[in-house]
Amino acid sequence: MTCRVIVVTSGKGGVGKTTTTANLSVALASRGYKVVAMDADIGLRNLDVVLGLENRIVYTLVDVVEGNCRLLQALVRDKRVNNLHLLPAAQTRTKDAVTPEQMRTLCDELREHFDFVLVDSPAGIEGGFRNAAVGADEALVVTTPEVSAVRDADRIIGMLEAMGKSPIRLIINRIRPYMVKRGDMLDVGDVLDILAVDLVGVVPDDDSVVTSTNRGEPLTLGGNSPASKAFENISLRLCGEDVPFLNLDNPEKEGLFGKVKKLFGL
Amino acid sequence: MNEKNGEELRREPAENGQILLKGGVQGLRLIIPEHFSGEELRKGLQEILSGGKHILQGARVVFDLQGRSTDAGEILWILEHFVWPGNVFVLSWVTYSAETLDVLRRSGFPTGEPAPTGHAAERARVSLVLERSLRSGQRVEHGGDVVIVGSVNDGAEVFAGGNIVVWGRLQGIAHAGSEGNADARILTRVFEASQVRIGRKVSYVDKDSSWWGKSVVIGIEDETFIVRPLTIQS
Repeated sequence: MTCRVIVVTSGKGGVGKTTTTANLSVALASRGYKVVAMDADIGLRNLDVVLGLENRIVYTLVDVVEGNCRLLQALVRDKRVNNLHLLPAAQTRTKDAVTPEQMRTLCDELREHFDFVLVDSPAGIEGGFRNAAVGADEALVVTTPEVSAVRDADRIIGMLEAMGKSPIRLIINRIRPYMVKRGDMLDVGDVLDILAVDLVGVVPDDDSVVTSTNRGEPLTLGGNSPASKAFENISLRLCGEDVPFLNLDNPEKEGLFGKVKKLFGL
Repeated sequence: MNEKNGEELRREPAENGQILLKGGVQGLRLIIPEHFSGEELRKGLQEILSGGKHILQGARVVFDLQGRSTDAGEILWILEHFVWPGNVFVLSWVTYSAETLDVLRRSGFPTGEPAPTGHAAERARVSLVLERSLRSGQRVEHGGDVVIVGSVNDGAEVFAGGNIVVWGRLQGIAHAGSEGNADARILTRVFEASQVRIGRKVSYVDKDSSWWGKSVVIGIEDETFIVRPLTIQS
Protein backbone atom coordinates (compact mmCIF):
# COMPACT_ATOMS: atom_id res chain seq x y z
CA MET A 1 0.00 0.00 0.00
CA THR A 2 1.14 3.57 -0.50
CA CYS A 3 2.30 5.14 2.71
CA ARG A 4 -0.11 7.43 4.50
CA VAL A 5 1.46 10.31 6.38
CA ILE A 6 -0.96 11.67 8.97
CA VAL A 7 -0.33 14.67 11.22
CA VAL A 8 -2.07 14.57 14.61
CA THR A 9 -2.67 18.13 15.71
CA SER A 10 -5.07 20.32 17.66
CA GLY A 11 -4.04 23.91 18.16
CA LYS A 12 -4.81 23.71 21.84
CA GLY A 13 -2.33 22.01 24.13
CA GLY A 14 -3.16 19.14 26.40
CA VAL A 15 -6.16 17.75 24.54
CA GLY A 16 -4.64 14.37 23.77
CA LYS A 17 -2.53 14.55 20.59
CA THR A 18 0.33 12.50 22.01
CA THR A 19 -1.99 9.99 23.67
CA THR A 20 -3.85 9.64 20.39
CA THR A 21 -0.67 9.27 18.34
CA ALA A 22 0.69 6.61 20.71
CA ASN A 23 -2.51 4.58 20.94
CA LEU A 24 -3.27 4.72 17.23
CA SER A 25 0.31 3.76 16.35
CA VAL A 26 0.10 0.71 18.57
CA ALA A 27 -3.35 -0.23 17.30
CA LEU A 28 -2.32 0.01 13.65
CA ALA A 29 0.97 -1.82 14.16
CA SER A 30 -0.81 -4.57 16.07
CA ARG A 31 -2.89 -5.17 12.96
CA GLY A 32 0.19 -5.78 10.90
CA TYR A 33 0.91 -2.39 9.38
CA LYS A 34 4.45 -0.99 9.45
CA VAL A 35 4.08 2.16 11.52
CA VAL A 36 6.43 4.93 12.57
CA ALA A 37 5.34 7.38 15.22
CA MET A 38 7.25 10.63 14.76
CA ASP A 39 7.54 13.12 17.59
CA ALA A 40 7.63 16.56 16.00
CA ASP A 41 7.43 18.39 19.33
CA ILE A 42 11.09 19.40 19.45
CA GLY A 43 12.10 20.69 22.84
CA LEU A 44 9.05 19.39 24.66
CA ARG A 45 8.98 15.79 23.60
CA ASN A 46 6.44 13.46 25.16
CA LEU A 47 5.74 10.70 22.69
CA ASP A 48 8.73 8.71 23.91
CA VAL A 49 7.45 8.73 27.51
CA VAL A 50 3.89 7.85 26.55
CA LEU A 51 5.16 4.92 24.48
CA GLY A 52 7.54 3.87 27.24
CA LEU A 53 10.58 4.01 24.98
CA GLU A 54 12.49 6.96 26.45
CA ASN A 55 15.38 4.92 27.81
CA ARG A 56 16.27 3.57 24.38
CA ILE A 57 16.72 6.88 22.57
CA VAL A 58 20.18 7.35 21.16
CA TYR A 59 19.61 9.57 18.12
CA THR A 60 16.75 11.93 17.37
CA LEU A 61 14.98 13.48 14.39
CA VAL A 62 17.31 16.49 14.64
CA ASP A 63 20.35 14.21 14.41
CA VAL A 64 18.96 12.73 11.22
CA VAL A 65 18.29 16.14 9.71
CA GLU A 66 21.75 17.38 10.64
CA GLY A 67 23.41 14.30 9.20
CA ASN A 68 24.80 13.00 12.48
CA CYS A 69 23.26 9.61 11.83
CA ARG A 70 21.25 7.67 9.30
CA LEU A 71 17.46 7.62 9.56
CA LEU A 72 17.29 3.94 10.45
CA GLN A 73 19.77 4.45 13.28
CA ALA A 74 17.46 6.97 14.94
CA LEU A 75 14.37 4.76 14.82
CA VAL A 76 13.57 3.03 18.10
CA ARG A 77 11.93 -0.34 17.56
CA ASP A 78 9.17 -1.20 20.03
CA LYS A 79 9.88 -4.64 21.46
CA ARG A 80 6.30 -5.18 22.50
CA VAL A 81 4.73 -4.54 19.12
CA ASN A 82 6.24 -5.79 15.91
CA ASN A 83 6.25 -3.22 13.12
CA LEU A 84 6.15 -0.20 15.43
CA HIS A 85 8.97 2.31 15.49
CA LEU A 86 9.45 5.66 17.17
CA LEU A 87 11.35 8.58 15.64
CA PRO A 88 12.01 10.70 18.71
CA ALA A 89 12.34 14.46 18.95
CA ALA A 90 15.28 16.19 20.59
CA GLN A 91 14.63 17.52 24.05
CA THR A 92 17.61 19.87 24.18
CA ARG A 93 16.85 21.78 21.00
CA THR A 94 13.98 24.04 19.95
CA LYS A 95 11.48 24.16 17.12
CA ASP A 96 13.76 26.13 14.81
CA ALA A 97 16.28 23.31 14.70
CA VAL A 98 14.58 22.03 11.54
CA THR A 99 13.08 23.66 8.47
CA PRO A 100 9.85 22.70 6.69
CA GLU A 101 11.91 21.49 3.75
CA GLN A 102 13.91 19.17 5.93
CA MET A 103 10.73 17.80 7.51
CA ARG A 104 9.23 17.14 4.11
CA THR A 105 12.34 15.30 2.96
CA LEU A 106 12.32 13.26 6.17
CA CYS A 107 8.67 12.25 5.69
CA ASP A 108 9.38 11.32 2.08
CA GLU A 109 12.24 9.09 3.19
CA LEU A 110 10.04 7.42 5.79
CA ARG A 111 7.39 6.73 3.14
CA GLU A 112 9.72 4.23 1.53
CA HIS A 113 9.84 2.04 4.62
CA PHE A 114 6.43 2.28 6.25
CA ASP A 115 2.68 1.97 5.69
CA PHE A 116 1.77 4.69 8.18
CA VAL A 117 3.67 7.70 9.48
CA LEU A 118 1.87 9.34 12.40
CA VAL A 119 3.32 12.75 13.19
CA ASP A 120 2.72 14.06 16.71
CA SER A 121 2.44 17.82 16.30
CA PRO A 122 3.22 20.36 19.00
CA ALA A 123 0.49 22.70 20.19
CA GLY A 124 0.21 26.10 18.54
CA ILE A 125 -0.09 27.44 15.03
CA GLU A 126 3.45 28.60 14.35
CA GLY A 127 6.61 26.98 13.04
CA GLY A 128 6.38 23.85 15.17
CA PHE A 129 2.94 23.00 13.83
CA ARG A 130 3.92 23.92 10.28
CA ASN A 131 6.98 21.70 10.43
CA ALA A 132 4.86 18.82 11.69
CA ALA A 133 2.19 19.26 9.02
CA VAL A 134 4.27 20.05 5.96
CA GLY A 135 5.19 16.45 5.13
CA ALA A 136 1.74 15.02 5.80
CA ASP A 137 -1.09 14.20 3.39
CA GLU A 138 -3.88 13.80 5.91
CA ALA A 139 -4.70 15.30 9.27
CA LEU A 140 -6.32 14.13 12.47
CA VAL A 141 -7.51 17.05 14.57
CA VAL A 142 -7.99 16.30 18.25
CA THR A 143 -10.26 18.42 20.38
CA THR A 144 -12.02 18.21 23.69
CA PRO A 145 -15.67 19.27 23.93
CA GLU A 146 -14.77 22.64 25.41
CA VAL A 147 -15.37 26.05 23.90
CA SER A 148 -11.72 27.10 23.95
CA ALA A 149 -10.45 23.83 22.49
CA VAL A 150 -13.06 23.91 19.73
CA ARG A 151 -12.14 27.45 18.78
CA ASP A 152 -8.48 26.51 18.54
CA ALA A 153 -9.41 23.41 16.54
CA ASP A 154 -11.37 25.61 14.14
CA ARG A 155 -8.31 27.78 13.65
CA ILE A 156 -6.07 24.83 12.99
CA ILE A 157 -8.56 23.28 10.57
CA GLY A 158 -8.63 26.53 8.62
CA MET A 159 -4.84 26.40 8.40
CA LEU A 160 -4.79 22.73 7.42
CA GLU A 161 -7.35 23.41 4.69
CA ALA A 162 -5.22 26.26 3.40
CA MET A 163 -2.23 23.91 3.36
CA GLY A 164 -4.19 21.44 1.23
CA LYS A 165 -4.27 18.62 3.77
CA SER A 166 -6.98 16.11 2.96
CA PRO A 167 -8.85 14.42 4.43
CA ILE A 168 -9.06 16.30 7.69
CA ARG A 169 -10.80 14.19 10.33
CA LEU A 170 -11.86 14.96 13.86
CA ILE A 171 -11.41 13.13 17.14
CA ILE A 172 -13.41 14.39 20.10
CA ASN A 173 -11.48 13.40 23.19
CA ARG A 174 -12.30 13.24 26.91
CA ILE A 175 -16.04 13.46 26.55
CA ARG A 176 -18.05 12.95 29.75
CA PRO A 177 -21.53 11.73 28.90
CA TYR A 178 -22.97 12.63 32.30
CA MET A 179 -21.86 16.24 31.89
CA VAL A 180 -23.21 16.36 28.34
CA LYS A 181 -26.57 15.14 29.65
CA ARG A 182 -26.57 17.86 32.30
CA GLY A 183 -25.89 20.45 29.63
CA ASP A 184 -22.53 21.30 31.20
CA MET A 185 -20.48 20.05 28.31
CA LEU A 186 -20.76 20.46 24.54
CA ASP A 187 -22.08 17.38 22.81
CA VAL A 188 -20.78 15.81 19.63
CA GLY A 189 -23.39 17.58 17.52
CA ASP A 190 -22.43 21.00 18.90
CA VAL A 191 -18.78 20.43 18.08
CA LEU A 192 -19.47 19.10 14.58
CA ASP A 193 -21.80 22.03 13.90
CA ILE A 194 -18.91 24.41 14.31
CA LEU A 195 -16.01 22.43 12.94
CA ALA A 196 -17.84 20.87 9.96
CA VAL A 197 -15.33 18.08 9.28
CA ASP A 198 -15.74 14.30 9.29
CA LEU A 199 -15.80 12.69 12.71
CA VAL A 200 -13.54 9.66 13.00
CA GLY A 201 -13.83 9.00 16.72
CA VAL A 202 -15.16 9.96 20.13
CA VAL A 203 -13.04 8.99 23.12
CA PRO A 204 -14.55 9.05 26.58
CA ASP A 205 -12.75 10.57 29.53
CA ASP A 206 -11.03 7.64 31.15
CA ASP A 207 -8.79 7.48 34.22
CA SER A 208 -6.89 4.59 32.75
CA VAL A 209 -5.32 7.03 30.27
CA VAL A 210 -3.44 8.75 33.10
CA THR A 211 -2.06 5.48 34.40
CA SER A 212 -1.13 4.27 30.97
CA THR A 213 0.73 7.44 29.99
CA ASN A 214 2.62 7.50 33.26
CA ARG A 215 3.63 3.89 32.85
CA GLY A 216 4.44 4.18 29.18
CA GLU A 217 1.98 1.43 28.33
CA PRO A 218 -0.48 2.61 25.67
CA LEU A 219 -4.01 1.37 26.31
CA THR A 220 -4.27 -0.30 22.94
CA LEU A 221 -1.47 -2.69 23.90
CA GLY A 222 -4.11 -4.88 25.36
CA GLY A 223 -6.53 -2.93 27.47
CA ASN A 224 -10.25 -3.19 27.73
CA SER A 225 -11.12 0.28 28.95
CA PRO A 226 -13.63 2.46 27.07
CA ALA A 227 -10.86 4.75 25.82
CA SER A 228 -8.90 1.78 24.57
CA LYS A 229 -11.89 0.49 22.60
CA ALA A 230 -12.47 3.96 21.18
CA PHE A 231 -8.87 4.19 19.92
CA GLU A 232 -9.15 0.70 18.44
CA ASN A 233 -12.27 1.76 16.60
CA ILE A 234 -10.55 4.86 15.26
CA SER A 235 -7.72 2.73 13.89
CA LEU A 236 -10.29 0.53 12.16
CA ARG A 237 -12.12 3.51 10.67
CA LEU A 238 -8.83 4.94 9.44
CA CYS A 239 -8.42 1.73 7.47
CA GLY A 240 -11.80 2.19 5.87
CA GLU A 241 -13.92 -0.02 8.11
CA ASP A 242 -17.38 1.10 9.08
CA VAL A 243 -17.50 0.80 12.86
CA PRO A 244 -20.48 2.05 14.85
CA PHE A 245 -19.68 4.60 17.51
CA LEU A 246 -19.59 3.31 21.09
CA ASN A 247 -22.70 3.78 23.13
CA LEU A 248 -21.22 5.67 26.06
CA ASP A 249 -24.51 6.23 27.81
CA ASN A 250 -26.98 3.87 29.37
CA PRO A 251 -28.03 1.28 26.85
CA GLU A 252 -31.67 2.17 27.58
CA LYS A 253 -31.19 5.84 26.80
CA GLU A 254 -30.49 7.35 23.41
CA GLY A 255 -26.76 7.29 23.69
CA LEU A 256 -24.01 8.74 21.59
CA PHE A 257 -24.70 6.49 18.64
CA GLY A 258 -28.27 7.70 18.56
CA LYS A 259 -27.13 11.30 18.56
CA VAL A 260 -24.62 10.67 15.80
CA LYS A 261 -27.26 8.87 13.78
CA LYS A 262 -29.57 11.84 14.18
CA LEU A 263 -26.83 14.18 13.08
CA PHE A 264 -26.38 12.34 9.83
CA GLY A 265 -30.13 12.13 9.30
CA LEU A 266 -30.21 8.38 9.70
CA MET B 1 -24.45 30.61 -9.18
CA ASN B 2 -23.20 32.67 -12.09
CA GLU B 3 -25.78 35.43 -12.03
CA LYS B 4 -24.50 38.83 -11.27
CA ASN B 5 -27.07 41.17 -9.88
CA GLY B 6 -26.07 44.72 -10.59
CA GLU B 7 -23.76 45.69 -7.84
CA GLU B 8 -23.45 42.28 -6.21
CA LEU B 9 -20.23 40.37 -6.31
CA ARG B 10 -20.59 36.64 -5.93
CA ARG B 11 -17.68 34.66 -4.63
CA GLU B 12 -17.26 31.00 -5.36
CA PRO B 13 -14.38 28.87 -4.19
CA ALA B 14 -11.89 28.40 -7.01
CA GLU B 15 -12.03 24.98 -8.57
CA ASN B 16 -9.48 22.47 -7.40
CA GLY B 17 -6.28 22.59 -9.34
CA GLN B 18 -6.98 25.66 -11.44
CA ILE B 19 -6.45 29.34 -11.07
CA LEU B 20 -9.81 30.83 -11.96
CA LEU B 21 -10.15 33.86 -14.13
CA LYS B 22 -13.57 35.46 -13.81
CA GLY B 23 -15.19 38.50 -15.33
CA GLY B 24 -17.22 40.67 -13.05
CA VAL B 25 -18.57 44.10 -12.34
CA GLN B 26 -15.14 45.30 -11.30
CA GLY B 27 -13.31 43.78 -14.24
CA LEU B 28 -11.26 40.63 -14.18
CA ARG B 29 -10.71 38.59 -11.06
CA LEU B 30 -7.86 36.12 -10.62
CA ILE B 31 -8.83 33.54 -7.97
CA ILE B 32 -6.12 31.35 -6.46
CA PRO B 33 -7.25 27.97 -5.00
CA GLU B 34 -6.73 28.10 -1.26
CA HIS B 35 -4.76 24.92 -1.02
CA PHE B 36 -2.24 25.80 -3.74
CA SER B 37 1.35 25.20 -2.73
CA GLY B 38 4.02 27.77 -3.59
CA GLU B 39 5.05 25.67 -6.55
CA GLU B 40 1.52 25.29 -7.88
CA LEU B 41 0.99 29.02 -7.56
CA ARG B 42 4.12 29.86 -9.51
CA LYS B 43 3.42 27.26 -12.14
CA GLY B 44 -0.20 28.38 -12.51
CA LEU B 45 0.75 32.03 -12.96
CA GLN B 46 3.54 31.19 -15.36
CA GLU B 47 1.10 29.20 -17.48
CA ILE B 48 -1.13 32.24 -17.80
CA LEU B 49 1.75 34.30 -19.11
CA SER B 50 3.18 31.69 -21.42
CA GLY B 51 2.72 32.01 -25.13
CA GLY B 52 3.50 35.64 -25.75
CA LYS B 53 0.34 37.73 -25.86
CA HIS B 54 -1.93 36.69 -23.01
CA ILE B 55 -5.38 37.54 -21.85
CA LEU B 56 -4.29 39.71 -18.93
CA GLN B 57 -2.07 42.02 -20.92
CA GLY B 58 -2.87 45.51 -19.72
CA ALA B 59 -5.98 44.26 -17.90
CA ARG B 60 -7.13 45.53 -14.54
CA VAL B 61 -7.31 42.57 -12.20
CA VAL B 62 -8.41 41.83 -8.65
CA PHE B 63 -5.94 39.31 -7.23
CA ASP B 64 -7.98 37.03 -4.95
CA LEU B 65 -5.98 34.80 -2.63
CA GLN B 66 -9.08 33.79 -0.61
CA GLY B 67 -7.98 32.14 2.66
CA ARG B 68 -4.53 31.15 1.44
CA SER B 69 -1.70 32.24 3.69
CA THR B 70 0.75 33.98 1.35
CA ASP B 71 4.00 35.33 2.69
CA ALA B 72 6.04 38.35 1.67
CA GLY B 73 8.43 36.25 -0.40
CA GLU B 74 5.60 34.87 -2.50
CA ILE B 75 4.07 38.32 -2.98
CA LEU B 76 7.43 39.53 -4.19
CA TRP B 77 7.65 36.61 -6.60
CA ILE B 78 4.18 37.41 -7.95
CA LEU B 79 5.26 40.98 -8.61
CA GLU B 80 8.60 40.10 -10.16
CA HIS B 81 7.49 37.19 -12.30
CA PHE B 82 3.85 37.86 -13.05
CA VAL B 83 2.58 41.38 -12.48
CA TRP B 84 5.51 43.36 -13.86
CA PRO B 85 6.65 41.23 -16.78
CA GLY B 86 3.03 40.44 -17.67
CA ASN B 87 2.07 44.08 -17.68
CA VAL B 88 -0.83 43.24 -15.37
CA PHE B 89 -2.54 46.02 -13.46
CA VAL B 90 -3.54 44.79 -10.01
CA LEU B 91 -6.50 46.86 -8.83
CA SER B 92 -6.52 45.30 -5.42
CA TRP B 93 -5.48 42.26 -3.39
CA VAL B 94 -8.11 40.20 -1.58
CA THR B 95 -7.28 37.88 1.31
CA TYR B 96 -8.96 36.45 4.43
CA SER B 97 -5.66 35.60 6.07
CA ALA B 98 -4.84 38.19 8.70
CA GLU B 99 -1.09 37.69 8.29
CA THR B 100 -1.23 38.17 4.54
CA LEU B 101 -3.45 41.21 4.96
CA ASP B 102 -0.91 42.67 7.33
CA VAL B 103 1.98 42.19 4.89
CA LEU B 104 0.04 43.79 2.04
CA ARG B 105 -1.19 46.72 4.09
CA ARG B 106 2.18 47.55 5.58
CA SER B 107 3.67 47.51 2.10
CA GLY B 108 1.11 50.01 0.86
CA PHE B 109 -0.93 47.70 -1.35
CA PRO B 110 -4.65 48.31 -1.86
CA THR B 111 -6.62 45.51 -0.18
CA GLY B 112 -10.20 44.35 -0.17
CA GLU B 113 -12.73 44.82 -2.91
CA PRO B 114 -11.66 47.71 -5.12
CA ALA B 115 -13.49 50.96 -4.72
CA PRO B 116 -15.62 51.73 -7.72
CA THR B 117 -14.23 54.60 -9.76
CA GLY B 118 -15.91 57.43 -11.59
CA HIS B 119 -19.68 57.61 -11.41
CA ALA B 120 -19.81 54.34 -9.50
CA ALA B 121 -17.99 55.93 -6.60
CA GLU B 122 -21.00 58.09 -5.92
CA ARG B 123 -23.34 55.17 -5.77
CA ALA B 124 -23.60 52.77 -2.85
CA ARG B 125 -20.54 50.61 -2.68
CA VAL B 126 -20.61 47.08 -3.98
CA SER B 127 -21.96 44.40 -1.64
CA LEU B 128 -19.75 41.47 -0.89
CA VAL B 129 -21.52 38.10 -0.86
CA LEU B 130 -19.48 35.21 0.52
CA GLU B 131 -20.87 31.70 0.09
CA ARG B 132 -18.76 30.09 2.76
CA SER B 133 -18.25 30.09 6.49
CA LEU B 134 -15.38 31.87 8.15
CA ARG B 135 -13.20 29.79 10.45
CA SER B 136 -11.50 31.08 13.56
CA GLY B 137 -8.63 33.33 12.56
CA GLN B 138 -10.08 34.37 9.19
CA ARG B 139 -10.90 37.99 8.64
CA VAL B 140 -12.93 39.84 6.00
CA GLU B 141 -12.80 43.58 5.48
CA HIS B 142 -14.99 45.39 3.01
CA GLY B 143 -16.16 48.92 2.42
CA GLY B 144 -19.79 48.08 1.64
CA ASP B 145 -22.31 45.55 2.90
CA VAL B 146 -21.20 42.00 3.61
CA VAL B 147 -23.48 38.99 3.30
CA ILE B 148 -22.16 35.70 4.61
CA VAL B 149 -24.10 32.69 3.38
CA GLY B 150 -22.57 30.57 6.11
CA SER B 151 -21.41 31.05 9.66
CA VAL B 152 -18.89 33.34 11.29
CA ASN B 153 -17.17 31.09 13.80
CA ASP B 154 -15.80 32.18 17.15
CA GLY B 155 -12.44 33.80 16.43
CA ALA B 156 -13.38 34.98 12.94
CA GLU B 157 -13.90 38.65 12.14
CA VAL B 158 -16.03 40.63 9.70
CA PHE B 159 -15.50 44.36 9.25
CA ALA B 160 -17.96 46.08 6.92
CA GLY B 161 -18.37 49.73 6.08
CA GLY B 162 -22.04 48.90 5.59
CA ASN B 163 -24.39 46.27 6.99
CA ILE B 164 -23.57 42.70 7.89
CA VAL B 165 -25.90 39.78 7.26
CA VAL B 166 -24.96 36.33 8.50
CA TRP B 167 -27.19 33.52 7.29
CA GLY B 168 -25.67 30.96 9.63
CA ARG B 169 -24.36 31.41 13.14
CA LEU B 170 -22.70 34.64 14.19
CA GLN B 171 -20.20 33.81 16.90
CA GLY B 172 -17.21 35.92 15.99
CA ILE B 173 -16.67 39.66 15.80
CA ALA B 174 -18.98 41.60 13.46
CA HIS B 175 -18.29 45.28 13.07
CA ALA B 176 -20.85 47.01 10.87
CA GLY B 177 -20.41 50.63 9.85
CA SER B 178 -16.74 50.13 10.57
CA GLU B 179 -15.87 53.44 8.96
CA GLY B 180 -18.05 55.37 11.37
CA ASN B 181 -21.59 54.78 10.08
CA ALA B 182 -23.79 54.36 13.15
CA ASP B 183 -26.84 53.59 10.99
CA ALA B 184 -25.44 50.25 9.87
CA ARG B 185 -27.09 47.09 11.10
CA ILE B 186 -26.21 43.49 11.85
CA LEU B 187 -28.63 40.73 10.95
CA THR B 188 -28.16 37.08 11.75
CA ARG B 189 -30.15 33.88 11.85
CA VAL B 190 -28.45 32.57 14.98
CA PHE B 191 -26.98 35.16 17.31
CA GLU B 192 -24.22 33.77 19.54
CA ALA B 193 -21.64 36.55 19.54
CA SER B 194 -20.34 37.81 22.84
CA GLN B 195 -19.66 41.23 21.39
CA VAL B 196 -21.04 43.39 18.58
CA ARG B 197 -19.73 46.60 17.11
CA ILE B 198 -21.54 49.26 15.07
CA GLY B 199 -20.02 52.53 14.03
CA ARG B 200 -17.75 53.53 16.88
CA LYS B 201 -19.59 51.64 19.59
CA VAL B 202 -19.08 48.24 21.19
CA SER B 203 -21.63 46.25 23.12
CA TYR B 204 -21.04 43.19 25.25
CA VAL B 205 -23.61 40.47 25.18
CA ASP B 206 -24.66 38.12 27.94
CA LYS B 207 -25.20 34.48 27.07
CA ASP B 208 -28.23 34.56 29.35
CA SER B 209 -29.96 37.25 27.33
CA SER B 210 -33.26 36.27 25.80
CA TRP B 211 -32.08 36.68 22.23
CA TRP B 212 -29.06 34.38 22.50
CA GLY B 213 -29.35 31.80 19.79
CA LYS B 214 -32.20 33.62 18.05
CA SER B 215 -32.60 35.45 14.75
CA VAL B 216 -32.02 39.14 15.35
CA VAL B 217 -31.47 42.57 13.84
CA ILE B 218 -29.10 44.77 15.80
CA GLY B 219 -28.83 48.49 15.33
CA ILE B 220 -28.14 51.68 17.23
CA GLU B 221 -31.01 53.95 18.20
CA ASP B 222 -30.50 57.03 20.34
CA GLU B 223 -26.92 56.02 20.93
CA THR B 224 -27.95 52.65 22.39
CA PHE B 225 -27.68 49.17 20.95
CA ILE B 226 -31.14 47.81 20.21
CA VAL B 227 -31.80 44.16 19.45
CA ARG B 228 -34.99 43.16 17.69
CA PRO B 229 -36.23 39.75 16.66
CA LEU B 230 -35.67 39.13 12.98
CA THR B 231 -39.08 38.39 11.54
CA ILE B 232 -40.16 38.43 7.94
CA GLN B 233 -43.23 40.59 7.32
CA SER B 234 -45.53 39.11 4.77
